[in-house]
Amino acid sequence: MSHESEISKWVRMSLAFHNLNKGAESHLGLSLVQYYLLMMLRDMPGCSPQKLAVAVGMHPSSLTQSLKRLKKKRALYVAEDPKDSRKKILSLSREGLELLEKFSSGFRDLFKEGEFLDRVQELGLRSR
Amino acid sequence: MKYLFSELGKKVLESLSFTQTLYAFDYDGTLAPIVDDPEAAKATKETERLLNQLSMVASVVVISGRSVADLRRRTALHVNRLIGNHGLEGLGVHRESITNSESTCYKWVQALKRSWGTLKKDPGVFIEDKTYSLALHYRRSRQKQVVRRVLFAKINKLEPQPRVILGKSVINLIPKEGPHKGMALLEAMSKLNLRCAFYIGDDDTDEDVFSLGGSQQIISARVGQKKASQAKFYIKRQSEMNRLLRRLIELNEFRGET
Repeated sequence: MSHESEISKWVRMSLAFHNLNKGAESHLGLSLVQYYLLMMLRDMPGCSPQKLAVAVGMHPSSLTQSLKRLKKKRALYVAEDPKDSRKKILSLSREGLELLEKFSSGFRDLFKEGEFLDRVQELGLRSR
Repeated sequence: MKYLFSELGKKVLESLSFTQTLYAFDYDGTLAPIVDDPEAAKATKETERLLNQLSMVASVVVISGRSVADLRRRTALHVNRLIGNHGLEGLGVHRESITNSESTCYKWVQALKRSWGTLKKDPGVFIEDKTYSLALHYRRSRQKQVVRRVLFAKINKLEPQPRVILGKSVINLIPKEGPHKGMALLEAMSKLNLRCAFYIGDDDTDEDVFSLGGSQQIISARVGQKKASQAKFYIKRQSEMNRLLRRLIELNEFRGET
């Protein structure tokens, strides 16, 4: 396989992933990353952004942007740490929980319908 | 420290119900009101009923300085676990550690009784032998300051030196090799396979839980506001406990329905 065709496959894969993410956000209210963040946060109520960043393996500055979007969606709330006003704590909101549930029940269909699986197959990444 | 029934506190309590959380409670001063005679301490029927109801919809443990036998005698609780003697009982701690603590406490009781001297005249001061730890009570003494000083002088002479935890007019003596409430909570979380916990207590023995960090997610609350405490939230007084239990039941029942 030449470099050009290999790169073109990866680019198409990346675009397919981008479209999957966009589709998820417009149909289900959350992108994949947002879903993952909320899912982790559900099990870490009252945690600090730093602790969440470590848990999801994300750089704190990238996390800040995602948290801002999720806050706008009222999926989580950010408050001052009751013991240290310089720090913040995060928790999932009821709206966030509902988004998580909506995403979990609708994602499989979205995944099947989209072009993403074709691209995965094309690259030979699909395990079964 | 924030009030647990503030907007933030209520949201945090709600978010605890979105996941599998262990709800852990201290007994004296938390589930049961503080009374002059520690022997008379008892949770109200309503508190017991609410705690039992909570344990039907969530995982619940009681972690106390009292022995498990004592807790069983004074309560009708059907919670996941009753953990006594600051974590030494109720978690399956190594037999060796229990035997060592028992013999250490026996030595301390003998030494204290031998040197009790003038304290014999004060009926408000007494030793509570909890087999694996001791509690020196002076709540009913009329000379609390003096008695406290005398007790500390006696404690300083004990061999081996105990771990001292101050309570409300009580000095707890715990063998140094024994666990503390913080370790007990972590152990209970591990045994019940839960990563998240809520703990509420009222005195210095509970600071071992309030100051826990690490990878576990623990939300702590104190009965009574105290600036120096490591707890993040507080309720104003013990009489608010039933309100808290009702709220926790409501939230966890709601989770069961979704």
